[in-house]
Amino acid sequence: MHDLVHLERRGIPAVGIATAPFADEAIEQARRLGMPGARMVYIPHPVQLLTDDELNARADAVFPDVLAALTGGWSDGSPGGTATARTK
Amino acid sequence: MTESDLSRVGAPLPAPALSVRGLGPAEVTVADLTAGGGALLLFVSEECPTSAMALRRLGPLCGAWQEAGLTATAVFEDPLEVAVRVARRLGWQAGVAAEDPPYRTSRAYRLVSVPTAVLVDRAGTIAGTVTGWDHAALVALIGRAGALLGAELAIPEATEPRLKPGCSSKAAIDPELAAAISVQAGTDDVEEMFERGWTDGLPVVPPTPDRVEAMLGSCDGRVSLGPVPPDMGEATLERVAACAVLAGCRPAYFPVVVAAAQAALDPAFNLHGQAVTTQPAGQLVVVNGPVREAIGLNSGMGALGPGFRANLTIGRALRLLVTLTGGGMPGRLDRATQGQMGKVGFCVAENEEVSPWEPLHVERGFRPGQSVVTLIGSDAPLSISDHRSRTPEDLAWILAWAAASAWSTNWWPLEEPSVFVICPEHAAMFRAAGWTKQQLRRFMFDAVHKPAAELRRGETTPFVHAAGPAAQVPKWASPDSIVLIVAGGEAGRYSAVLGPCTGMGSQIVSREVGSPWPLTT
Amino acid sequence: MAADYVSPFDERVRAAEPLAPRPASISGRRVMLLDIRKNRGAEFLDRIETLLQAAGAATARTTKEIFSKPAALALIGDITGQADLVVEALAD
Repeated sequence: MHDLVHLERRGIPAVGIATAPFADEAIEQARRLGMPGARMVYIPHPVQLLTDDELNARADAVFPDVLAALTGGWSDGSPGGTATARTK
Repeated sequence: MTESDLSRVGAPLPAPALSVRGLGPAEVTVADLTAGGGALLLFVSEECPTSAMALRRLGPLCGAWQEAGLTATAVFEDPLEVAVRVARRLGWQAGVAAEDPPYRTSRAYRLVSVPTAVLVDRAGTIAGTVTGWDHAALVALIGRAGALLGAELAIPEATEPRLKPGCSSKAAIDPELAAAISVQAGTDDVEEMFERGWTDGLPVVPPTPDRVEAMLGSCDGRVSLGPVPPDMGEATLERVAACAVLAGCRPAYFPVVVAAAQAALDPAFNLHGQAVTTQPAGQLVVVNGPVREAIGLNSGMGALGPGFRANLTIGRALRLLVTLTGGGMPGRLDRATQGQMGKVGFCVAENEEVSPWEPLHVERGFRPGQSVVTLIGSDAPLSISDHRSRTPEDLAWILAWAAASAWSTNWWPLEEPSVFVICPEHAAMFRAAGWTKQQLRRFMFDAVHKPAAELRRGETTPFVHAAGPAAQVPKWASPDSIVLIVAGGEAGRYSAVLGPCTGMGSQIVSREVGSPWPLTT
Repeated sequence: MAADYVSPFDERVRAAEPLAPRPASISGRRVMLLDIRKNRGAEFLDRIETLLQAAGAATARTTKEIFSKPAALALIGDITGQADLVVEALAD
């Protein structure tokens, strides 16, 4: 989160990807750093035991949100970005 | 991460020598640790949540393990003092050791991640390892240890998560890079504070939890002094302490910082107006009483300038409370056209010892032995040179007329206070003549008058506008607008006057430096 | 995560800092993929990288020194010189 905030301050759009359990902490961190709108996308936990195919599927599933976070297509409805933990 | 190499076939590996720091002076060796029958090395890192979980879950078992001959040691990839603190916090009462960069021991044990549990038998060979938190593998490892010792060893409960990956071992990165990073850590912290906007433009002391805890002492960090304008951020004592740490205060200064904050947040002071005005005024903190000497506040030579930690950091802590917690940051909500350096912080201790008069706090109704802070909305000091007056009248006249243009050359009269800081040599002249503060005040008030006609250039007050051209208009609405304190070195004849912050009804507010502590209400 | 500092700010009232302005699309942009060196992160970013390239972005990869500390400001500086956009992964 610190990295994302540092980058945004320098004019570089950024997005972080984490597993879902990170969401609470990330939102809190973003607020503490003064940038509650910093963007994160989430994938389900855990990832350690996934097969390569399953890991790729996670990436595929979250990619549209990654694009949206980096371009104009994101709605800043909730603070700290959207927790888009897909279930597949 | 769940690999366990209990089933690995091949020659048993000897446990590499330990290059770690223990709590005692003696070297920590594998032989010592396995003397009881076996050793469990739990490699961990302060920053790793899984390591913390492992320490918490295995800690309670170590006592019984020790009795059966299994010596457990948590080996931290962190400085020793960090290791001790973290272990204590997590309830780990068994052995603690620490590695310095470049983490040779972790490297020797071929660690990729932490936590890693390594079982070493009496012969000094590795009998098994478990990486990360893997309940099943750990139970198997402990069973193996039990078999070695001929005992049944307690196992951790199967609470969720039963499987949790660890974090990268610091040994997993390039050793030169590791060394370079540990050196850089300090400078990065300072830059991080600038990066976050937690400064007043000067470097600050990063408010780590340890530093803030030390600053709070026995105070309850959750107690709030109220909202700080203009953003109305809540001034919990924890935040006030964070500002005090940022400013560079010692914990001994904290009671004074709190008293200053309490005074500043008194509605009568109107901090809100001062924080957002285009006026340059800052918040002058005058300190009286025994606390001055107790914490090393300077009231002598250089009293209005740099050089003394207590003066500079106390003033700064209050200003950081306003600019950070309160959001009154220059260029944002603070609209001061030019501002002044007093807004970095301005804390003055009165030189009560050489003053011929009662100190400011006694004037304001406190006992001499009380320690008091007094907040006054004030402009920057204007220096008043007088080297040749031979009478108190001449000196008083010079001092008073120096302030004629304070705030404005002709916006007369002013109700808000001008603060005169009288140097000891000047004060001595009044002592010799036996003048009280009231006499001096009265003389100064009477001295500075002008006919209304001469005050009609530029802006004109209603008072001047309504007065006849020859009517005498005073600079100050009453002698009470003249505040007198004594400070400075005993050689030199320079006094000063600080002009007022006007038009917002700001009252001078005094507050006793808290007693008794801790502040709980 | 690393213990953070005690903030002097009341985040409930602190004015939010704005994000950097976003481009309309990533086509033709340089995207830096910042690997925080946690397990499976590199493979995950491999896939994201492929998808970004398919969407028309130019990509580059870099890593953090220690996952749990903020990236050194020097690294941040380097990235801003080399990239228009950043994807950081995978915090697990």
